[in-house]
Amino acid sequence: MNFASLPFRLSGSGSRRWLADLLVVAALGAILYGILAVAAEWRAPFRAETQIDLSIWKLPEYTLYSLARGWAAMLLSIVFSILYATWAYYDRRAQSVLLPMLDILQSIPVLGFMPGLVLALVAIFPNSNLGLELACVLMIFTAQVWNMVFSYYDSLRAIPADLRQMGVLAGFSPLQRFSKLELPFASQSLIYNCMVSMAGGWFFLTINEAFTLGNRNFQLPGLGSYMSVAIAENNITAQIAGVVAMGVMIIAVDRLIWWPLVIWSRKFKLEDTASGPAETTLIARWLAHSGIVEFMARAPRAIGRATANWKLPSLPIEPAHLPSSAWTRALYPITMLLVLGLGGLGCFKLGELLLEVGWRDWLEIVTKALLTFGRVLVALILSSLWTIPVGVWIGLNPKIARPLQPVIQFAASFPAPMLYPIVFGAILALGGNLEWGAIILMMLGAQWYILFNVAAGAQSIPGDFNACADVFQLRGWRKWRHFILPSIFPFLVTGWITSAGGAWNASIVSEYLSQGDRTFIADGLGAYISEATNAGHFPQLAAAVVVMAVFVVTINRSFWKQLQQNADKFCRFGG
Amino acid sequence: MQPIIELENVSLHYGGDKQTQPATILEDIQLTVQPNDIIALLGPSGCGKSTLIRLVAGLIAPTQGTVKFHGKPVEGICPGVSMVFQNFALFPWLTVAGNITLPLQQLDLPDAEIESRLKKNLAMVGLENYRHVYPRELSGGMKQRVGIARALAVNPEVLCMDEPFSALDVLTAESLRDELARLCADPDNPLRTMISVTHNIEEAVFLAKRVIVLAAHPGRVALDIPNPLPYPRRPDSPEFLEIVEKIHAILTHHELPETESPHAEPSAPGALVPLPQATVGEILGLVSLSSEEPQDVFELAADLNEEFSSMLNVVKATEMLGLVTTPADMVVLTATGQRFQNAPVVERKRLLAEAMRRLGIFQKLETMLAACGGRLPLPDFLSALALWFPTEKYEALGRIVIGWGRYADLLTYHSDDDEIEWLAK
Repeated sequence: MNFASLPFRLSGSGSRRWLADLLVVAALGAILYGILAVAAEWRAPFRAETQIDLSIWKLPEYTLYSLARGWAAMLLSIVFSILYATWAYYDRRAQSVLLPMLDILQSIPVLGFMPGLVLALVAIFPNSNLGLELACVLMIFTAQVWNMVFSYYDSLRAIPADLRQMGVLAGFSPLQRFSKLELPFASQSLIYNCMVSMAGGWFFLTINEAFTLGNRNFQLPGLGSYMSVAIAENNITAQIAGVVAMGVMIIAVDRLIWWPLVIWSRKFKLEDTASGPAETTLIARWLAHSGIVEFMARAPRAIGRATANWKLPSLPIEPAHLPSSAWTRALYPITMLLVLGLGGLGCFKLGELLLEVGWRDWLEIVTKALLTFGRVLVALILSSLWTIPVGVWIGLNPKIARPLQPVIQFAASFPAPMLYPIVFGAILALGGNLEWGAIILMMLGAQWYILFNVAAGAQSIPGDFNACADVFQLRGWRKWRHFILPSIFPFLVTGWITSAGGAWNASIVSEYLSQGDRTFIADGLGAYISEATNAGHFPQLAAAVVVMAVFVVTINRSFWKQLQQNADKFCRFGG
Repeated sequence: MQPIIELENVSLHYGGDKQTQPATILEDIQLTVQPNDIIALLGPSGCGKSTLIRLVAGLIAPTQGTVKFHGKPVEGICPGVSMVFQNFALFPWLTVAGNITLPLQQLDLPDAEIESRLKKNLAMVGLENYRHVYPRELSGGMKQRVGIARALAVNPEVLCMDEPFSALDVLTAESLRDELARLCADPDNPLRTMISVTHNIEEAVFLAKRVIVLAAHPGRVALDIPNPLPYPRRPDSPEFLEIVEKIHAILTHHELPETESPHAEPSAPGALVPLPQATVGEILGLVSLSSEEPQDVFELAADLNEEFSSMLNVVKATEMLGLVTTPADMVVLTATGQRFQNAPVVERKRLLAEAMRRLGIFQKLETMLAACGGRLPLPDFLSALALWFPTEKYEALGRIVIGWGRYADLLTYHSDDDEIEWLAK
């Protein structure tokens, strides 16, 4: 019998199909319940400080709330990335503003956005919890979104010209071009970046959900605030329970959502040669047997058919100077004015704030920035000392890499600040202090980027070069200096840049720790920002955030970019 | 004279776990390299010639047997061996001089000695003025000259070359080959022993004093042909052509054994033999080029600029399907082939499907699929292939089976489910 010709493909045996459907229904039910619970919480009347119950039985509920915030932020990030990158790609004039702006935005410490966001949104929604919830989601968003925008923009640029021309010949509308060409082409890299971003989003969860602004305390129900309260009350059992819940959540999201998505997105790989049998996952196989999923899978096509002839502002085929159609001609100046106006207003307000800061404060801020810069440097050096040899070892031994990879990935995506009390406790017990201990705390989150990149670099050394080093019997320091280090150098620089960014961000939480009724402060810009936030000194806070952003951007532009260019010029194989 | 390198009963197996048997890459290799030997390893693709030269260099350890250097078993890199790589393997961050001297520094030679060796070898490959140039500024031929200079600078006893000219264009390869032959003939050159891997028969005859022909599946030494022609050799001389012709005949004969009647199947119907690595597109191409006029396989390959060994695979595949025969190493279209040539696509597919169903591998597959309701997970089929043909690369073979069957509408492959489905009635 020819199954393929039947209108409904019957796959698998009856019981398997039934089971798969049951599973899908259960999952849908759970998601629906989750949405309702979260919606109820969000619509609840405004209360700045929710009491957190440290009982373990409340943990699943709190985890659900945090998860919902993370995913709301993720969806927002995806939409924002696509819109922003598409605009930046198709509009040459806007591009010259949008791209540098992105560079600056990603250098602003995540927590620098917090006071403005919270105060504004709470003011907009004075009577419901929505404002505070939105503020929290937006803070997670600012930690996730930037590399996703870059990834989508790079994908748009990488679409081969012949595929684009094919789309023109087929008469694709902009919406069709997006759904049939751009999104499939970008999906692999976008999904990978989403996965990495999600980890970044969790990093500040403890602070995003529970913080003090001046004399006001804000606290949302969630895993992050559970952890904060547990730390504040020095409740070790609850701290451990929170860490376990976080770990379970990360693994579950990774295995149930990201991993199947990553495998699925591989079919969009642009490749001429067939490469072995397609990989599938357990989830994908289960879903393939569910009739409900089959039904739902037809929805996009139906939507596509229905919207195929929608008249939308037609974007140009190639990057060009907008506007091109009457529709966009009218809309364009308004959008531009709005963006520039808002930007201008923001700059003006910021300027007003900064004018209130006296020169003594500026001096203090810059001195503290130098101190923190020192910590970031030492953290990078210390991280490199162990991650380079280990990364090379992993990269050159694929047999070790396979089992280790999920472990390292987990360690890297676990929000380090949740471990700060435990690690700092150990540092104190060993006779350390926060001035130096903050370096270790920064490393907890930042070192993994170096490890990943070094391992990827070592893995990509062509076989002939390894054979060459062996035949000519390169050994010891000479082998490292002339062969291994240059081979991995472009990857190492990328790792350093990402790690440095992470360390700057982490300084805000690692230079200022409060545990129970004790507060530890290390002299530095991060602690300064934390203190200014807690005390509600907004001019000083704004000045400190600006200084940190300027530091990061300047170092990126003057040092890392140069290093990266040289690495790409001298240390790339082939060519 | 004591040999420099001896390979005794060397075998190499690869992979293999609980489900699959290890694949045999090389089986029972006996090879001695005498001083002053210039050896060319020649064979069809996939016969393990690059693997063999890596075994000689000690880059890979054999699973069985021993590699000896001056009578002593070698562990790790073979001392006194140097290597030239197909894709040059020049470090992009080092200049020409840096690339050549790096192995010398590792030998802890005095600076003056390093400098003199650098000068000598740069002069030998004609790159005196390129000391401070980075590899990215050099053309492919120049890069390989640096690769050769680097390999010679360590004063090796044996020089191994892994397809040194195959990444270069034809003209550049020609000139470099010429220079290397001159080097072999140069009485002042201390290096007199070389092993090179090639798939080019003329290159082998041009350079080597011994041409070792390898057979595939599993890789083994088929023949060791001495080549006593004096240097410099002229590729258009009758003696040269005679040896080329002889090796060509041996290779063809080895791959396309003579059959009794010109129209018979090359093997009994239903016999379980693996399919050659040839795509349907290549088979169709060969049929459209063939006629009742006999054509030389070697000339066909030369005309199409195809590697000889892959051309042989296409001929073998087309013969298995009964579309051509190969009496006396010539390709002739059969009656079926003639009908095929003039048939429309549907008829062509029918003819191919008919021919394929006479092949053992498709008969087995049909039985397997019938036993499990028309659909079979690909991994199951692959492990069956691994079981039937332990010396074949079963993944590549599986791809060929699916490729053929798909074109002839015998079967289809669902990549989403990773399953094969039988379509024919």
